[in-house]
This record gives sequence, structure tokens and C-alpha cells, in this order.
Amino acid sequence: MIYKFYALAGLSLEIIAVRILYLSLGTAPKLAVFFIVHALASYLASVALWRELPGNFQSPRKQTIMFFTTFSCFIPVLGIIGIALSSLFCVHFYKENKEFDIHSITTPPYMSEARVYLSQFGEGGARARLVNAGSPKRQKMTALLAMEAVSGRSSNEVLRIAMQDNDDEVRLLAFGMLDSRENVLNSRIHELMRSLDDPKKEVAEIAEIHRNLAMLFWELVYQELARDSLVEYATEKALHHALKTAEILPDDSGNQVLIGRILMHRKEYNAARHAFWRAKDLGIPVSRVIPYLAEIAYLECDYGTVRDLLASDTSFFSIPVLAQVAAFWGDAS
Amino acid sequence: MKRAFPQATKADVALLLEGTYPFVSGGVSSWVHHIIRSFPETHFAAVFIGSRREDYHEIKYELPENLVHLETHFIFDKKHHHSKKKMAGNPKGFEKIKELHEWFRAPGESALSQEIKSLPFYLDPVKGVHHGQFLHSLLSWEFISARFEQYCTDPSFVDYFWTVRNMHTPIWQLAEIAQHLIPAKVYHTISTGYAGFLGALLRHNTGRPLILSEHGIYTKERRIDLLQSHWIKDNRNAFQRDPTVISYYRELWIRFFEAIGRFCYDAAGTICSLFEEARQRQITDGASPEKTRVIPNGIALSRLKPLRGKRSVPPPPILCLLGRVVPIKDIKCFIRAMRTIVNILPEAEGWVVGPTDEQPEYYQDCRNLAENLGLADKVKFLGFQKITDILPNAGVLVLSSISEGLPLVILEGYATGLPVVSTDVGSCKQLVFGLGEEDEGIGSAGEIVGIGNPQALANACINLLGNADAWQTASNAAVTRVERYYTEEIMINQYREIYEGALAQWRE
Repeated sequence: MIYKFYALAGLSLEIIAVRILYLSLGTAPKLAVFFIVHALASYLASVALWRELPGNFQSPRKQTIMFFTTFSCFIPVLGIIGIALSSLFCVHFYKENKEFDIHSITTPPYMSEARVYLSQFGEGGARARLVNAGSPKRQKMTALLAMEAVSGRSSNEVLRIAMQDNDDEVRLLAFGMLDSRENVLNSRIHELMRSLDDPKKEVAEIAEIHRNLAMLFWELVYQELARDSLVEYATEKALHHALKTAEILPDDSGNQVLIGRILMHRKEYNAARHAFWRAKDLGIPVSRVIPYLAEIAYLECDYGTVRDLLASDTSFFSIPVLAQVAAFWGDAS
Repeated sequence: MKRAFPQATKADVALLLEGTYPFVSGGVSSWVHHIIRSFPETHFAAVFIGSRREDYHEIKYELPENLVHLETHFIFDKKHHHSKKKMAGNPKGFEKIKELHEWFRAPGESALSQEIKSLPFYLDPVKGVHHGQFLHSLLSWEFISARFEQYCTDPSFVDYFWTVRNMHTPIWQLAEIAQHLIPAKVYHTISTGYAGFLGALLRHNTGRPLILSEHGIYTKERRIDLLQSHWIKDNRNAFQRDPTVISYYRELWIRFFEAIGRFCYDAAGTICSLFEEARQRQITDGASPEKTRVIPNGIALSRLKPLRGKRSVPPPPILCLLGRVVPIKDIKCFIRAMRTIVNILPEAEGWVVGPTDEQPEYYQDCRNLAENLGLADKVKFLGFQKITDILPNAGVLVLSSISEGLPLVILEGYATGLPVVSTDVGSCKQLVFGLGEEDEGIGSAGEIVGIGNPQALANACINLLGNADAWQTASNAAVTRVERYYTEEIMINQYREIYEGALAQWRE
């Protein structure tokens, strides 16, 4: 904004400078006043133009502005037009040269990037060692640490097995890892529940909070961080918040999928099916709901429907997780 | 902290205490307080070693009269003002440090050299490597650089350099503490770690006996902490990182504490633990089996016995967890268990009795969890309370800890006839089911469940509270067991024997 002011001030001063030439004064004082006002106008216009230059032309700042000022000052009118035109050219047509020269440099001291470390075992190996009660403790400990890099659900079960280990340290480490995963979700839940009490929240914000709470409670269930009677509690809370979201945003297809999944977990298959179809009607791709519908049919032992559903969309064959299932049911027909 | 501490010029026993008595309440602190009061004829000095001054507040105990000297040291508070002038360093001293590191790597192969055990090695630039040399000498730089090249698997030398400096600085601070400590006839450390290292230096410097009593196993607890710490750097890039290999600095810290633990085990004449498994663990960590012995905790029954008749019949549906609100007690597991218990016994309440100020963020997490689970009015955080007010009103004592030694609170609960449901940690199984044929014959004084299993914890509590006969049988077993095996007299007599032996050795 300040630069627009500079441009305007520069232009106004230049007009004043030209007007000064037509005043009835002596030649010397007239030229002196003209030169001072014109120099100031040139400086202000240069600052404004400098601001519009592309980043790689702006540096060094002082010298660039001085160059523009000198140019405008000593070639009145034409100078400033010339600078404006070249700035426009730079802004719109000049392409930065992005090619870099490549040089070879020697490795600086204490850089060990080139060292190669051999892995003791991969993720599968880590799982196997934790599940095997006879593995040496040191191996179990390192395997446990490897589980930290594995995403929640697939490794939580292994961590629970490690929590029953005979060795105190293995148990404690597994416990700590599970606990910290649960803490992340719980603290977020608490934060959102607190913000739900804020009377100043807009309806849209409340819907967003309910949606996030539903997902977080569901995550506790899905990642198997909540167990036994706590699963029931977390599922109930997830459903409560998902239904609250649906009250405010009845056309939210993603929320309908979540409702379907929670209901499916609660073995309320008819209601779950209804939610999935509703999600489809609301525009969610059919390939996202059919696997759930097929799973419900499978759980109800309605295998014909499983086959029909999986045959209804060939896109499953391009999804690695589903391709084998779809192929199996395709072969079964 | 501004109050004047007792000061003396000499003492009989110097207790070396890291992060515990008298600034922290809890099992170990109570034990220390109890030991001091049980030997009124002995003059004790206490050396408290803490991390930073602001982590510790007021003294939590009334200091006994025979605690004649108390001094505090905060090892991460000190500012060092060594001149940064160029110095070459003492080649012989660095040779000895190299030997020390070799000893840490393979302790069985050679004996630890006498020079490195002596205090002047750490304080005198001619006789060894003093702190200034460690920080600023050329030899120190070369030593650290060479070890980086030889062993470090992390790419950052800068992080390695500063990790080594920060890690080892307390060694020289402890040497200074040892130099200025008032003379004592016996040194008694309550853990390995920094306090244990100080004890070892004092033992080697004065020739006086060092006793080590471990309640938990310090190196094990440190290792668990370090494996989960987020402040330790790991600079390996995507190509270097092997998820199954812990970061080098993490391993370095773990090895450091193992090494100073080994230094302490080597110096101690008597190494006590609370139960057999802990003794075995000490041996694995480097303690000579012939120096080790088990001395279980014991309590004074006279104060708690009268409370037995004050409990209502049937027992109240109050589940009481006595302990500090800190992660190691896994209060969250107790809260989760309360969700199940309240579903079945809606009148039940969970009381968490213990200080909440040690880790305020964990306390807040626990409160949040209770709210998230709809238990804000069912789980009560009562703070520090007198056990004589609490225990008669409780129906079951609950311990959900993930690590324990031999918890005094279980013994105190037993003394009032309160059965316990505990996780399978430390010696809890031994306390509930007994150890050996005679003890096992007493019967079970409660139930044991796996750690981090709120459902099992809840079921065990419900079974005890819901069955008056089972509760009474467990209560009777609890009283019999504590009266027979875990009294103050048994414990104090064993320590009296150790102290007398150590003092006699010094007289000779």
C-alpha cells in the first residue's frame, strides 16, 4: 500500500516540477527548485518501481534504487518511462535461469553419509521375534523399537503381545509405546470436547467438532487402543458425535460412511447398510461403499450378494488390497 | 528451599540420595525417613542430588534429630567458568580414560585401574584429567573425534560432541562434591546412577565401606525412560535409518548409565535389593553375587493395627490407589478400569491418594481421561492424605503400576486388613500369593493381573468386592502375611547387622 503512495507522490511531484518551469521566476532559482522537486519525484517513483520487480532483480536494494533514481533524474520523463517499460518486461516476460552449475566437492570432515549400515532384520522379522517367546531380550527390544515405525493398527496387536512378555523391560517399553499412541488421541478428544462447550461457536464449527470427535473416538476403536468395555464406550461416543454431525450436515457423504462403519462394528447391519447406500446417494463413489456392503453380506452369510456386489464394479481389480478378494469371489462363481 | 539445613563436621552414615528424600514423598523417601528414625543413636548425613533447583520445592518430611547434616546439589544448574585457554591435556590421563572405556565395554577381561578410581584423577590436572582439560584440551578433542570416527553411527559430529560433553560433565561435578563432603564412617547410596557414582568415588577415596540399597533397578528404569525420550536426537537419513537399530545417542546414554552403575557395583561392599528377581537383575548388570542380599521392606504395625475394626461390613465399594500421580503408577489404567467397575457397580468410587504436583501434565491427562470416560464424579484425586484416614474407608487397595519394587503401600494396606489387586510387577506377586511353601500356605491376599489391562484389573476388583467371603479370606491372609514376614523389626535388624559390620570394618 505504501508503495502505491510512493508512486502517486512521485507522479504528483513530477507534475509540480514541470509546472514550476512555467512560473514567472528567474531562470536560476526556477531550475534549482525544479531539479530538487524532480529528484525527489524520481526517487519516490524508483522505490515504487523497485517494489514491483521480480525477487531476483530486487537485490542489491540500495544500488538498484539509486540506479533507477539516477536514470529517471537525468533523463526527465523518458527515463521514468523507460524504467517502467523495462520493469513490465521483467515482471511479465523474463524467465529466471534455473540451470545450476554442478560442481564436485570433497566430503567435508565428519560427514558419514556414505556409510552403509546393515539392517538386522526388517519389519516382518521384528514382528516374528516379538511374538516368539524364546527370542533373546536384546532382539526383542530392538524389534519393539522397529514397531514404532509401523502404523498404528498393524503394530498395536504386536505391542499387546509384547506387554505380556516375561521380561520387565520388554513389557515396559511396549506399554510406553502404546500409551503414547493413546495419549495423542485422548488429548485431542479432550481439547475438542472443551471447545464444544464454547457458546460462541457457529453451527458450522460445531458440526466440524462433532465430526472430528466421531473420527477420534472411532480411531480409538479402529486402532484397537480401546478394549473390552471401553470399546463399547468409545463406539457409543463415536456414533453419538457422528449422528450429531448428520443432524447439522445431513448431506455429508463421508460422515454417512463413518456412521455405516460404526453401526457395522455394533452389528447393526440393516442400519449400517442404510447409511452406506445413503452415502452413495449423496455422491460418494460406489467403489468406496461396496466393500463394506459386501462385508455386511458376508457377515450375514449372504454369499450370493457378496459375489454380486464385488462383480458389480471392475475397479476393485486395480486396488491391491481388494483385487485378490474380488478375484476370489469372481472365481467362486 | 531457603530454609537452613542442618550442618555438621562429621557423621556416622552418609546417605547418598538421588531425586528422593527429603524433597519427594513416596515409597523410597518414606523408607529413608524410616531408616534414619530407626537408628536414633547413629548420626546421619544426607547428600541430595537433583536435576534442577526448580524441580524440587519444599521438604516433605520433618527432619529427624539424628539427621545432622543435609546438603543439596543440582547437577544441571551449575555454570562452569573454566578458562578457555589452549591446553594440551595430560596424555597419561587420557590413556587411563581409554582404559576405562575398554573396561566398560568388556568388564570381565581386566581390572579397573586404581588411578581412575581415585578422586585426584578428576580434580588434579597433573594426576589425571580435570574438568577444564575435558572441556578445552587438544587431547580431549582428539579423543572425542577418534571415538566418533571409530564407533558413532550417527552422521552428526556436532551432536556427538555436545552429547559427550553434556553427558560426562556431572562426573566432574560429583568428584567436587566428593571432595568437599564431610567425613563419614560409612556411605550408603539408595540407587546406582549419579548417587551410586558419588558413593563409588567416596569409597575409593576414603577406603570406607559403601552400601548400596536398590528399591527399583536404576539402570533398567533409566533405559526405559531413554528408549522413549523424545529429546534425544537421531540424525540418520532415510537411507541410513534402520528402524530396528536404536539411535546412537540413545544407546550412548543407556551405556553411560550402565557404566556408572557398574562402577558403583564394583565399589559397593554390600548390595541390597528388595526381592530375589531384583537381586538377579543386579547380578546381570554387573554385581558380584557374593555381595548381594535380599532385604524386604517392613512396616511398623502398631500404628495401623487398630484401624482393622473401623472398616464397615460389607466392605465399602471404594477402590483406593495410593501413590504419586506419575506415569510409572499407570493411573490411567486404574481410571479405565473404573469405567468397567462403575458399569457393574454404579455406587463404586475410585480414590487416587497421593501427591499430584510431581508431573502436573500427567495429572491433567488423568483428569482429562476421567472426563472423557464420563467419570469426573467417580474418580477422585484426593492429593496427599494421612493413610490412617483413608485405609479404613477403602474396600480394595489397587496398584496399577508398570514398575515397582516391594511397595510399602501394600504392606500398610495389609496391616489394616485391606486386600490388594495389583499388576504383576516387582515383588507384588510374592506379596499377594506368598513365597515358599509356608508363605504360600497363608493363601492369597488379593489378586494379580497383567500390566496395562484395565479389564482384568476391573474384573479382579469386582470379584473381591462382590464376594464377601472371598474378601474376608483375602483380608485374613493379608494380616497374617504382613505380621509374619514384613515387619519393621525384621528389616531394621538386618540393616543394623549391615551397619554394625561396616562400622566395625572401619574401626579395624
